[in-house]
Amino acid sequence: MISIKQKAQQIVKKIQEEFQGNSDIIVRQIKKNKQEIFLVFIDEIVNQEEINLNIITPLHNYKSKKTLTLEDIKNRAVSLCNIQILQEKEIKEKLLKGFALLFVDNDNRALGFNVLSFQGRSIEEPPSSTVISGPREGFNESIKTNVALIRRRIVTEKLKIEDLTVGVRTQTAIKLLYITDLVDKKVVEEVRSKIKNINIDGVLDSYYIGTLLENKPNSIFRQVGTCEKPDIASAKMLEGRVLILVDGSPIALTVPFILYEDFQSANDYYSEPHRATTLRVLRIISLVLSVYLPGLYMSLQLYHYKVLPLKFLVTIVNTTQNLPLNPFLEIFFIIILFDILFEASIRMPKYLGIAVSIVGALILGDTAVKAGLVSPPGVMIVAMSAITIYIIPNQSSQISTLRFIFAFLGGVLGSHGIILGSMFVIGYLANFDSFNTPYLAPYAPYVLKDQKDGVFKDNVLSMTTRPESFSVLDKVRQKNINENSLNKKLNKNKK
Amino acid sequence: MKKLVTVRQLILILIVCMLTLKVLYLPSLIAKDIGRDAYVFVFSFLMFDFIVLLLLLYLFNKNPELSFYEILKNIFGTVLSKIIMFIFFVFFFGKCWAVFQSNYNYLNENLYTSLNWLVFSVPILFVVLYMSKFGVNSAARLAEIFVPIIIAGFLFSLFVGITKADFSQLLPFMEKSFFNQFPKFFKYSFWFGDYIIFIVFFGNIKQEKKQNLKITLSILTTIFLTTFFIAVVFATFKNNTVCHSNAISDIVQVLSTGSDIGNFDWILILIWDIALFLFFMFNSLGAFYCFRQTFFKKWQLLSISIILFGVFLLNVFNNFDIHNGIIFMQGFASYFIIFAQYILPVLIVIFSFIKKRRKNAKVYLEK
Repeated sequence: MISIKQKAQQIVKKIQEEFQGNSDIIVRQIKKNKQEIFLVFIDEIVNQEEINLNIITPLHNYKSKKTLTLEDIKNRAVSLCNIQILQEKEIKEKLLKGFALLFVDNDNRALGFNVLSFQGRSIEEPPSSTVISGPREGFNESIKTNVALIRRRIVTEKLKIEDLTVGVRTQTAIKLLYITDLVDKKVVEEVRSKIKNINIDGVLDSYYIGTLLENKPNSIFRQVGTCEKPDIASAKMLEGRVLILVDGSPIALTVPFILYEDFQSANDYYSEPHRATTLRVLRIISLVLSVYLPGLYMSLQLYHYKVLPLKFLVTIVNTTQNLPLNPFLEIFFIIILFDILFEASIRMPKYLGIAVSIVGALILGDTAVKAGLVSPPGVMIVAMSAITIYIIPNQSSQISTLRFIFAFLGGVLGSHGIILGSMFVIGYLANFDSFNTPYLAPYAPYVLKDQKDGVFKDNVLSMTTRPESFSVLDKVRQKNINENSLNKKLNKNKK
Repeated sequence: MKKLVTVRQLILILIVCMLTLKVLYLPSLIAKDIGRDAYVFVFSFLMFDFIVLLLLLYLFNKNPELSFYEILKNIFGTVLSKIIMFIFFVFFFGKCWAVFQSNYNYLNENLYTSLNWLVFSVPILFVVLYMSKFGVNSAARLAEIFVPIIIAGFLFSLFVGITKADFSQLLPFMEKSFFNQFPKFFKYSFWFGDYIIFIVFFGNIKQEKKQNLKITLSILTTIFLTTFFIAVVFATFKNNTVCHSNAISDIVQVLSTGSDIGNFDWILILIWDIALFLFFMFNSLGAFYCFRQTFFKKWQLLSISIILFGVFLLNVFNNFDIHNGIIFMQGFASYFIIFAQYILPVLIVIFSFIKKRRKNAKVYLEK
C-alpha cells in the first residue's frame, strides 16, 4: 500500500516501484512556486491532449503565491469536469482505469482526472441483428457509449444505472439498467446479489456474467436473454426487464428471459403485424424442420417406410439402394461434414472462405453423391435442416445440439424415440424458470393477454398492457387507446 | 412460492385423459357387443362420469387449499384414508398397465413392423420417471403444449369422418331395448372414469373466476364430441367397425388427398402416440401420488420406480398383448373399477356432507 504522508516525489517513486517494468507509466513533474506537483497516468489509455489542455496548461497559468492544496487545484486551477479527490486505497485502481493522478506534498490523497480514452469501434449495425427497416445502431465494446445509446432512447429520471465491478484481475465495469417504476424489485435484488457474489479472476465478455447468472449453467438452454441493439434493449426495459451491460462486450444481457423472445425479431416491430405473424410462423416451422427433419427422415427409412407414399418410397429406394452406408450413418456423416465446413468457413480468412464454400458445395457435396457415398435426398434433408437453424440465430447452438440428439433418437428408436425425446425436452423446459418467470410462457402456462405479441402479432395500438408472463410493477403501457378513439380524436382536432 | 396448476391446464389434462382411449380402441370393442347404438351407451357412461366429476368438483370447491388425502383424513381419519388411497392406487396402476400395453400394441400395429418391447419400454419409463421428478406442475405445462395439438387432430379426424359418414347407418335408433343392452356395457367400465385424475391436483390448483363453469362446459363439450365421434365411426365403417381398432387414424384413411406426399393418417398416429404417452404419464403420476400417501412420503424416486417397474413386469408377464389385458379388465376387474370410479367418490362426498352437518350441529349446540 502506498503511504502518501510525505513529499510528493517520494509518493511517486513508490508508485513507480509498484509498477516496475511498465514502460507506459508516465510521471510528469510540474513546478509551481517552489512547490513540486506530480502528475501520473498510463500512456496508452488516456487522452494526452486533454491532459495538456485541461490540466497542465491551466496549472501553469494559475497564479497563486501560497502552496497549492488538492482542493485549490480542483476548485480553481483546472478546468475539467470529471475530477475526484481519491482516497489512498482508490489510487491504484483509478490509475489502472485511465485516470490521471495529481499528487501534492503532505497529502495522503490524490486528485483524479477521468481522461480515459482509447480507440474503439464506431457504432455499427450488428451482423446478427440486421433489419430491413428500423434503427440500425448497435452496441459496441464501450460501456459508456452503450449507456449513452440507452439514455438517448429512455428519457426519464426513473431510469436507474447501477455500477458494479467484477473480476479480481480485470476489474470489469458492469452496469445494471432498469426503470424503477416498472421493474420487479426482487429481480433487481437477485441480479445484484448474484453479480456481487461472483468471484472470478476475469470477465472478458457478457457471456461470463450470463452464465454466472443462470440457475442451471450446465443446461444447453440459456436462461438469460441477449441483444445487440439499443432499440431492442430499450423495448425490453420498457417491458419491465433488467438490462446488464458489461464493459468490453457489445452484447447486453436481459432478465427475466423467456424462450419465445428468441422467436421475435426487431423487424417484427417495424413492419405490418400480418407480415410479422407470417415470419414468426415461418420461424417456428424452421425450428421444427431443423430439429426433426434428419431424425424423421432416418426413422421413415429405417422403421416406417410403409407410411411413405409409393412414388416417394420408390424415389428414395432408387437413390439409396447402392449406398455403402446405412441411413443412420449416412445422415450423421453429412451432418458432421456440414458442421466441419461451417466451422472452417468461420475460422478461415474471408478470401479463403469462398474456396471452402466451393470445396464444400462442389467437391464434397456433389462428388460424394456422384461417387455413391451419400444420397441426394440425404444431402437435401441435412442442407435444409442446416439452413433453417440460422433463422433463429440466438438459438442456433441449441438447435444444432437438439438436431444431433433427435437424429440419434430417430435412427435408433424411430418416431417413438422422437416423440419421447420431444416430451423429455419440453418437460425439461416446462420446469425451467428464469428469475421466477416460466421459460415456456406465454404458452405453458398460457397467458392470454401476452398472445398479442405471441405467434400472432397484434398492432401497436392493441398492445395496451405490458407482458403478464413476468412480474411488472406497472402493467399499463398505454391508456385505453384504440383505433376508433384515436380516429375520433384526430377528427375532432381537424374540425 | 408453490407452483400451481392453472384451470386451463387442468381442463386440458381432463380432456386428454377422457379422449385418448375412447376414440382409439373403444369403438371397435363395443361394436362386437352393442353394435350401432353403442354411442348411446358411451354417452350414458360419460354422463355418469360427468356427474361424479361434479361431485369431486364440489368436494374441491369446499376445500380448495387441501390435498385429496387431507380431505379424506378430515372425513375418515388416517387408516380409512390410507385404504381409500390404496384403492385409487390400484385403480391408477391398472390404468397404467392397460395404457402401457395399448401404447405398445398401437405402435406395433401402426408404425413398426416389429417393435422390440425393450426398445419401447425403457425410454418411455425413463421419461416418465424423469417427469415425475418435477411434479404435476411441469407435467401440466407439458400437457398445455401438446393437448391443443391432440384436440386439433381429433377435430380434424371428426371433421373428415362427418364428410364421409352415412348417418342412415345409425338407424333405426335403439332397435334393442336400452335396459337389455345396458348390463353388457358394464364390462366396458374400465374405459371410463378417467376424470379420477382430478384428485391428484386437489390443493394444487390456482383459483380463478368462473372456474366451475369453465371446467363443466369443457367437459360437457368433450362428452358430446366424443359421443358424436363414436357415432361417426359407426356411420363411416358400418359393420366393419370391429376391424378398425385405431378409429382416430383409420377414419382419416377414407379421405383421399390425391397427393403424392401421402395421407394424413400417419400424422394422426404420431399425435395419438403423444396422447397415449400423456395418458400413461398422468396415470403414473396418479398411482405415484396415491402410493406415496398410502405407504411412505420419502424416497419419491424409489416410489415411482417401483410403480413403473411393476407396470413393466406386469406387461412382460402378459406378453405385451392388449387383448389379454382387456379380457382381465372386462372380467373381475370391471366390478372393482365400478366401485373405485363411481361408488367410492359418491360415498366420499356423502360422508363429507354428513361430517360437515355434524360439525355444524356441534357448533350450533356449543353456541
